[in-house]
Amino acid sequence: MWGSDLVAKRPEFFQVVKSPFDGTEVVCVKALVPDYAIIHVQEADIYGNCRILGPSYQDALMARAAKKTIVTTERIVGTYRMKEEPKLTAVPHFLVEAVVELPGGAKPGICYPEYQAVEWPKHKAYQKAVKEGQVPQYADSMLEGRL
Amino acid sequence: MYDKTMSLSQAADLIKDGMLLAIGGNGMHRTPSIFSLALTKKPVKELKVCGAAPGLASDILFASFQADTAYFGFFGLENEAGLAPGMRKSMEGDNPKAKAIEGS
Amino acid sequence: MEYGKPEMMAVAIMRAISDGDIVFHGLASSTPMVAMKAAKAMGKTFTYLTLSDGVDHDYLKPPTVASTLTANTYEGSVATFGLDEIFDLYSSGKGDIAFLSCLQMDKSGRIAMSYLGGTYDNPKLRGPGGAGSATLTPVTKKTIIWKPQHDKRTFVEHVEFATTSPDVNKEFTVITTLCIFKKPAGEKYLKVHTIFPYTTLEEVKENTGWQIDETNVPVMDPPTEEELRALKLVDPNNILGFEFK
Repeated sequence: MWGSDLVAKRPEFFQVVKSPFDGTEVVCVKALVPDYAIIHVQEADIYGNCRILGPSYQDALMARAAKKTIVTTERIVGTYRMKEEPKLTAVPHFLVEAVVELPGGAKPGICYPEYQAVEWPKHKAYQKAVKEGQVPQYADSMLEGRL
Repeated sequence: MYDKTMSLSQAADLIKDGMLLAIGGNGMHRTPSIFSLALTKKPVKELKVCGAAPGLASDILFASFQADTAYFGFFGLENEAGLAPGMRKSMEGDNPKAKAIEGS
Repeated sequence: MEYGKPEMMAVAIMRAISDGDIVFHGLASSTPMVAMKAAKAMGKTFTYLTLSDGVDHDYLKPPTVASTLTANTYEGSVATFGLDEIFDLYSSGKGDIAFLSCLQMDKSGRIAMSYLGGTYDNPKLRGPGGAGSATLTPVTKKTIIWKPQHDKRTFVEHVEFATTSPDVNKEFTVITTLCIFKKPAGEKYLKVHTIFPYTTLEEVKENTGWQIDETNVPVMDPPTEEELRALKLVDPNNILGFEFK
């Protein structure tokens, strides 16, 4: 973070301190403890064990940082899936508080490999809704039958 | 291990005023956007959002003015999908409704 | 074979990569993505890291969109290495090149990514943020900024708020549509290092917001047939053109 004006701009998040080991100056970043991590995955069992197919981004890290995790999933699978190859469970059940079966839960965005293209008409509708202050109406159209 | 399945509405009810949420995915990719849209139907407010690259699901909470702070490295929807419209709406101009805390 | 600014920039990126390098580009980075795929197709043996988690993905599978987060940079990978792992790797000094971009930049390489116009707290345009550049720039051996424009709105006299800026002791390179600027290790300011064959130093000066003192700079060799063929091979859908529309 050296060379960034962000350090001085946000003292509530960055502080420069002397290292207790050799006295050199280091930038410290405040640790965030999220109340919830909220992630969407392709496969979860009813207990909250999650498999993420394709890019994981920082989802597993977020689940570990947060107090608890809420999972929405393309489908509920049997726990036997996790037992086949435990290493592929990105988030284990004990970090998870809620599991919601929600196919299409990342729309109008992408969820590899289930749907790999943005639904452009719906994304354009979102952009328009934001501009015109019509987000509740947009939400209604996307949530039909899902709540 | 115990059964944790519930409805979308029940899960959204777990979120309370002022909570800090780490929202997964990236840009237009595998973000829990429908969960965020369900949150817009609840009266919850003053949410804080964090993520390396908060995408669509986070943007929705700024578009609805339910989130007032974002901790992020990159907040956009990437290339063809453009800048994050909800984030921009709540953070730009003379009277912004939300604060950016850029971490990287 | 014909070429334009996109191909020349891509070729400049390809030539900046050496065998053995560990190289990263982030999201929204279609220009370095296509160039790095083409460098692979030319047989360069570098490590390709990006935020889809993929390590050395199958570069022959053509991209269909400019987003660099899609399965295109994941499928056919030999391993996964996520963004948090990449930050750890670069923070421990093991990253050779990071390709980053900017909204605006000045002669000291101060980069604006946070906002344009107004103030930090009351911005006219809230930018997407540094996207890791504040973390990576100080720790990467060679930071390379690519910018598919070259004008006075982008290259300004002074950047008020720097989302990041270069380490004086590290090499720092900027590749634009007209030229390459370089700040050598140990120096403070960017200098025109090379201009592209279709431009002149005069045109570079006219389109740069700071004073350029160089009087005689080398011209980069135009793209070779082989380089242009490699670009065509990895990018039949011309995703390279996206940032130049």
